[in-house]
Amino acid sequence: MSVRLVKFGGETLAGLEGRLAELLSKAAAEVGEGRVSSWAKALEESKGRTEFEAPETLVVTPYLLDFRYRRSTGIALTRFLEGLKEGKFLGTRCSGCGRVLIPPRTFCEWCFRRVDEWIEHSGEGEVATYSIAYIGTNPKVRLPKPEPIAVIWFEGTKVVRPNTRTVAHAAGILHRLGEVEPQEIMIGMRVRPVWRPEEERVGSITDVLYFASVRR
Amino acid sequence: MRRVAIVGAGMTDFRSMLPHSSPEMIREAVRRCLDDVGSLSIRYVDGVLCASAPDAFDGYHDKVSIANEAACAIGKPVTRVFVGGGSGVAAAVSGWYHVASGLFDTLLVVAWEKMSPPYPHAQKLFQTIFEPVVEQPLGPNLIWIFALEMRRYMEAHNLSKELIAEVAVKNKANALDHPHAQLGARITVEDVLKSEVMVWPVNRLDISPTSDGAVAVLLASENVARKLTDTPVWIDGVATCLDSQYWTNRDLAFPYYVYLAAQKAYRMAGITNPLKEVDVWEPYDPFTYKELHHLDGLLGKPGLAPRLLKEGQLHRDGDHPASPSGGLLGVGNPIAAAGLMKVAELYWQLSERAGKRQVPNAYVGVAQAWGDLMQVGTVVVCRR
Amino acid sequence: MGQGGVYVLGVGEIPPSSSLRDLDFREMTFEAAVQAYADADIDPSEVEGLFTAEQDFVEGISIADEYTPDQVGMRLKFNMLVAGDFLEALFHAYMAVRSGLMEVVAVESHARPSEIENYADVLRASLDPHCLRPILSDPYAIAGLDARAFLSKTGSTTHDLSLVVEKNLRNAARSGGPYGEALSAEEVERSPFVYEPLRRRHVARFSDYVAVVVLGSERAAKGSDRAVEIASIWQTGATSGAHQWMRSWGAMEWVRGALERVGRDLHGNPVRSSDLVEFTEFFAHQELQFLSGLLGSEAEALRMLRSGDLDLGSALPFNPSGGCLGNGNSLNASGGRAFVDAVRQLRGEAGRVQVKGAKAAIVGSLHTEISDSGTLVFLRTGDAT
Repeated sequence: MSVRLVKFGGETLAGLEGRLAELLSKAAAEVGEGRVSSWAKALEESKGRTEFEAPETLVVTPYLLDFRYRRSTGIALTRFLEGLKEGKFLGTRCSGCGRVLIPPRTFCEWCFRRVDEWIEHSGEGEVATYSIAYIGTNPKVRLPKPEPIAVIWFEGTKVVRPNTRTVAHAAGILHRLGEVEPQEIMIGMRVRPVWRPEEERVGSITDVLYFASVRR
Repeated sequence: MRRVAIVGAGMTDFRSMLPHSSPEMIREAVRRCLDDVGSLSIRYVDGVLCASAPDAFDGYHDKVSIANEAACAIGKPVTRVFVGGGSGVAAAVSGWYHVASGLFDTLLVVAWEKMSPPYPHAQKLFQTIFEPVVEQPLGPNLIWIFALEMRRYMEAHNLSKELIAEVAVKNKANALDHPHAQLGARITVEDVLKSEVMVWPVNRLDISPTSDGAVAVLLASENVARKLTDTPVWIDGVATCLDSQYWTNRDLAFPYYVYLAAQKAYRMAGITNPLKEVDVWEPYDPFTYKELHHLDGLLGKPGLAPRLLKEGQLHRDGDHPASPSGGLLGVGNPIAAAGLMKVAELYWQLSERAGKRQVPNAYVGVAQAWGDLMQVGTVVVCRR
Repeated sequence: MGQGGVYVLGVGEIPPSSSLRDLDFREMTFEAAVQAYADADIDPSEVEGLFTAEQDFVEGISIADEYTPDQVGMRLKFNMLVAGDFLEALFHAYMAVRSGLMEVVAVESHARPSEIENYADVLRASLDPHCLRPILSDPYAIAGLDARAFLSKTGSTTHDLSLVVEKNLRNAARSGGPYGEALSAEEVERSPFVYEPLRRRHVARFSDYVAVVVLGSERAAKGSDRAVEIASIWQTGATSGAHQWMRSWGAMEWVRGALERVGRDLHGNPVRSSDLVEFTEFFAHQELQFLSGLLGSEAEALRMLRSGDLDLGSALPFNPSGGCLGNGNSLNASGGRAFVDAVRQLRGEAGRVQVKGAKAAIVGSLHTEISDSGTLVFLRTGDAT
């Protein structure tokens, strides 16, 4: 019993550009090293457990999906991103429920009404919840340095359900934390955004480098 | 309303790197399901409903075509539904209205997931579930959101990681009795706490594995069900509920959407006191804390499930057995198939075919799944 | 409760357009939803659930249903995503209402092909990765194979396909479809081959589009004089899987199956009682294949086309809106466009392409451009019953 890897040659990659063909060949080589033994083990174990007779040789064909999109960010997010470039958090406010909406939208999902009042926020807020990532998208690879991440709720935007402690709404975003040791992080910790230097900002959520603790 | 029954169920082994192709897995689950209904011919099946979560895992766009021949759907209605991790139970909900509408007398519900093809890991694909403009540039991964939710949940009820780890101990032990389980094991709380930290507070043993697998369930209208089996299990309540996509604007401590879905399903099934009336629970447990978090939602009482766990009531021999199958933590987590496995478990439990996993005196069961950006709850209530 | 009729209470859309919009998909869908609820004269709080038709790789987002509820006012409500064409989601919504689970539901689908840089690669990924993807660089070649089989089987020519294009572009010029123009079949014939026998003009171009439709039970429709009834709907799967080997080339087998079922529901032949047909013909030959399926005769379908019986103002106006050739291929939302156009016809709101006295219509859609599965709907007005 064995596992055989089929490697596509240039000609079988019909319609793929050179760059993709290259990526695919590279992926094929990696699969060859990393995973063949796992497939072989599973193949062995499955014998006699299904109506299908396990093949003597398992053939593995690598292929690559590469889809590209060019997304219109729309009215609300375009203004939000432009705000970030200027070092500001822009949001909208619903005249129905009074909520501050960050990330902004042009409609309120509670009241189902159009929203067009814009507000500016300092970006200061509190840690709603946090975590520390030791891995990225490949669980087998440990990050060189653990990364603290958090949901930040912006100051003065919380709506708390009467008679409970449940927060029904808060303007907030997902981001990273910086200038802080993991053991110092707490829920409720006050934080402020740390911006990239103005000339480096491009109008992206990464124009904010991270959120840092506000020490009082 | 027309009554709808589950009359048969079948599943493949849940495994990492299952060498069979998706159509082969589906074929296997369907055959076992039909065998379960006295070797029913596929010709008597009116249609097929598929569920499988992101297209990306199989490496296909529009992957309903994978199930088309494997489930013998040629010339019959065949559509595919998905609501992320909630897909498996959503398939039972959708299957319910197929039959209850009067358009179908029998319907095969098939769920599968093949997570091992993506290289280097399926996690990379989960990156594309995030908001493309404000979240994806941060390079998030799926475990982040679980970790963020878990931390918030722990804070709300002052829960320890030790207590939460008991869910893994319980479910992996339950799975030892499941013939198709991937990760049945006898482990200790220590083992969970000592397993490596993935995204704090989540350790490796807090997480269900990536798996390949398929499950099929046959639904039938009341008249047909009575002809096909002496032990139909009725689906008496169904609901799904989807919360806002703006998850950073919500409090993650309580799954309000699961609560709302459960309330609707109970009302439909005539259940007024779930804690008293439900004999067996199959809440969605892709991560340890999730079983408790979801049970809180299903019971409508924030913080109750951890107390029940502490008292040992969630064990198979407790008053409120949860995940007697072994759940996703023990049986495995081929996403959509894992949800439908929970529905199949209710069928096995309520028709007294659960073998060593059997919960005594099980008359009413609830299965639930969850998915998207901590956003959707899908619930079915079944009755003997 | 349940088992009764299902009605269209309201429709809303952002008309098809080839250009990239300033709005993002949420903002665009919000506008269509506002319109649909106003059209139905209903407050969104009365709507109990949402059915959407989306495909992950068309959206560019995995688990696309995450991003569906807010913009249609469906937060914290029932939700089901159907991975296919709009009419497949409508099929689910229809069953949910008929079962008695809900009284009023919304069905939504949108597509932004203008935002996908390499759509051909997306569609190619619906084919078998081992046997077909390495061979076909463009998945539309499947349509070329299918068109060739149809022509050879029926003895028709590419000129017949060009007649379809001529008619649909002419209709679109009247209806306001983005690709409407006066173009003779001869001019169509002068466009170059792309997937022989298909010429460039035989292939629908892309357009962005959103449809939101509100459905209700008989009780919810009571009192509305504009409600259009979904008298019957049926979906049928493909004759083949992803490898296409077993496909019945040159014909749409699914139409026969679906038509049989719809006929059984109606106790009669739906084609005979229809005043018009709207169908998502992504390629010109598909219109003839669909019609052949409806009529049970390819010769009759060709005869009708050649004698002008499919034109506006004649026996059976086919795609009076201009179809996909005239309005564009809006991917999974295409069936929504055809559906909304048919509803407007039955309400007498179709403007310059109004089919006089239209009381019943057939709407059909394909699952994807190159799949041979689809959904068939029979719509009628209150006074048609």
